[in-house]
Amino acid sequence: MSETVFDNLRRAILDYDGDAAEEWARKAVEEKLEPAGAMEVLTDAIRQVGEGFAREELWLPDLVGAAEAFTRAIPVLEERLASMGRERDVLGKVVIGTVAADIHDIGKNMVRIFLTAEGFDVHDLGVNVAAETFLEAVKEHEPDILAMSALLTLTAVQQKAVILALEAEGLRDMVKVMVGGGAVTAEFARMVGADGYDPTAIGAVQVARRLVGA
Amino acid sequence: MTMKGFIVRNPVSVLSPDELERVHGAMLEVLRETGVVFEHPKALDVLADAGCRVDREKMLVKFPPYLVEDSLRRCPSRVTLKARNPKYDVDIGGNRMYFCPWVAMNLYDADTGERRAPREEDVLQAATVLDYLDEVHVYGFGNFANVDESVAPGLCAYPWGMAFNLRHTEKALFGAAILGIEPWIVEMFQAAGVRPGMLVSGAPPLTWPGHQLLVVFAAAEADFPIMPFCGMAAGSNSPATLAGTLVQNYAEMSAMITLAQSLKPGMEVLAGDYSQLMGMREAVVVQGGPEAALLDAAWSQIWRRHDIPRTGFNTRTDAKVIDYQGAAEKTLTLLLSVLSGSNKIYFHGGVYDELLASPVAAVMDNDVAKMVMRIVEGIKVTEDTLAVDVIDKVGPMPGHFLSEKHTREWWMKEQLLPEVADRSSYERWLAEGKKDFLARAKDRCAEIAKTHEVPPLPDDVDRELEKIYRSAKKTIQSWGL
Ligand code: B12
Repeated sequence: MSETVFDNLRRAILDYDGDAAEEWARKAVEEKLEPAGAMEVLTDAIRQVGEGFAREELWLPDLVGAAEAFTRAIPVLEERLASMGRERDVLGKVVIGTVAADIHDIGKNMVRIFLTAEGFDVHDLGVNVAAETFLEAVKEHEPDILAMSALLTLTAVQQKAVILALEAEGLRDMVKVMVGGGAVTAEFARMVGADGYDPTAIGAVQVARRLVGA
Repeated sequence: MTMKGFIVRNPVSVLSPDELERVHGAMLEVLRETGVVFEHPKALDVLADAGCRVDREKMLVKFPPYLVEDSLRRCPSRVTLKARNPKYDVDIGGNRMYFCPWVAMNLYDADTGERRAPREEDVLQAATVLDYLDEVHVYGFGNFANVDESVAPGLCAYPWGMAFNLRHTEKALFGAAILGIEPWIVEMFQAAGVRPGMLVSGAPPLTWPGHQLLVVFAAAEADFPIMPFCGMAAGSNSPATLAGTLVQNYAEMSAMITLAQSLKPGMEVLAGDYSQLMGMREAVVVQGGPEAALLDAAWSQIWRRHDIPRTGFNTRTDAKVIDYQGAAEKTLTLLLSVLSGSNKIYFHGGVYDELLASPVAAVMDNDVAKMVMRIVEGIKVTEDTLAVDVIDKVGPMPGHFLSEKHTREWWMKEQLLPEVADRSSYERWLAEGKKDFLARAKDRCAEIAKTHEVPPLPDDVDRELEKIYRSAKKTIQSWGL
């Protein structure tokens, strides 16, 4: 029995079907299957899609479709874990947002989706995020990583402002800072004092893994 | 006096009348059923008063079709921009067509083939060349929107750039602002006595950000036209289908036009679109090629239906250097954009998407613009051009036309004389050092930059701009930006 539920769960991801993913996650809960096992199935399916993308057999909508289906199933299983007094094994917690004055979010959304699919717990603060809002979110969620996206050269220095604010509040050592977006280069990332940078959303996942030592 | 630009008499269509009608119907349905978010209470008030259903908590506005139709009807059919020198004023709309340069993030260094951040001297060189080139009818923002930090730090690059443009070109300009810096921007243009178009950027899908609505309010107050646009990457923040992308952006734009006409009846709007594709391999925006050309032509058709002037954004390329792909993609989209009747086209100087620009490319583009204009002029058929008399006179061999008065009178009107493109003999080409288009354009660009002079602003205006810039800078820096 558990095999069919798990098979269907895997199929939902491979079919990029969010409704089915949520439904089969619920079934797994109803049938009192081990939530950690279900999560492993999901992660494995996502990895399979990721490999297909890396081999250039699959395309961006496949990858994002699978990742979003994954994020539909996860909360159902998390809830179940919580009711058992347990927590999901995540690679780490991430707070992400596009810096103040900047409303570009296509790339930032991709980073969020890929990090989520990789097994990070991601809080997305949206676009036009003020330095104080980043700071509050760091205090509230205590993330392992703060990720900032910036596409306007004009306001990319906001990333520096946030880092300075973290220092001023004595929070800088508690969180790794990762930056990216069209206006950010490796050199710029060094200049603002970030811990990690990558020019792509896929690369952001590897950077994040490195930052949490995974 | 206004710039002539050129006239496109019989624009081509890519949608059938029935298809156009269906796109229109779908747009009205999206506005009625899904609605558009306006992130500012004043916009919500204005639209509620005009008869929209407004959900204040979600800032979501749903539009009755009659109001949208009515606003599209009332939207003026012309946009006029006033330049520093009145000979460069433009009257955008109807069958008239103008070119303006592409604004990009980085410089394509035509000598090294590398990209780098523009320095002040690069921005100045581009400005000088664009001021000179005769087919740059509107200067807009010029080729670069930013400059290195040492010149203007952070957000100060905005007011710095606007003052710079007022100083270094006599042509008509655009203005833009984010995060509430519009008062200084408007003040600068007013100090110089010009009337720019103000760029307003939406955030697709179906959202107009609050700080961009501030620009709309400031433009209404200053009686400046607005140039709204939304950046769509089909398949990412708009549907993957070209038709779906048309519907979504048509809805976003019509919502903005409804706001503008409700806020200030008769407000001039230059409709933008800016639709591109999502590259599904590395997640980049794909901006050149046939899809862009089709979208561009469809937009011309859509706005022509309402007699609302439109600006075309799609004459771009994904080539990273000045090469064959770049030339092909830019020309494909340019030709269709012109033939479909865009009123203003971003064109000169773009290299890779809008990420790289080069004044050398602008020099090449100027020739291409002339070629396209020549095509648009068409074949003139009159008694005189049919030339029956002179054919009769010269008759069969060994007669020739070279010495005929008819030839002297007509050849230069019929033949294009490009400034840089090569139409010379092979021998001359050899003798002149086998230069290709790029090499010739580089020479010409350097020459223009060296010799062309833009008259300075009157002293008092210059001082006033400096004062406004300082005040803007002080405020911006106090915000930590
Ligand atoms: C689409 C677009 C828009 C849309 C945005 C829609 C949306 N919902 O995001 C709209 C129309 C709203 C828009 C508006 C404006 N835009 Co715009 N826009 C673009 C455009 C065409 C594409 C950007 C994009 O989405 N790229 C695709 C994504 C996937 O790339 P990405 O975000 O860089 O992300 C990738 C990586 O960087 C990485 N990544 C992203 N974030 C992060 C974070 C981390 C931590 C990491 C590790 C990695 C990472 O992952 C992604 C995938 O690999 C670019 C030009 C271009 N061709 O790139 C201009 C561009 C970014 N825009 C520009 C400008 C100037 C503006 C405006 C200011 C124009 C104006 N005057 O009004 C406004 C700004 C409004 C504002 N306050 O922000 C300039 C910026 C120049 C500069 N550097 O200063 C550009 C470069 C165009 C130009 N002409 O120069 N724009």
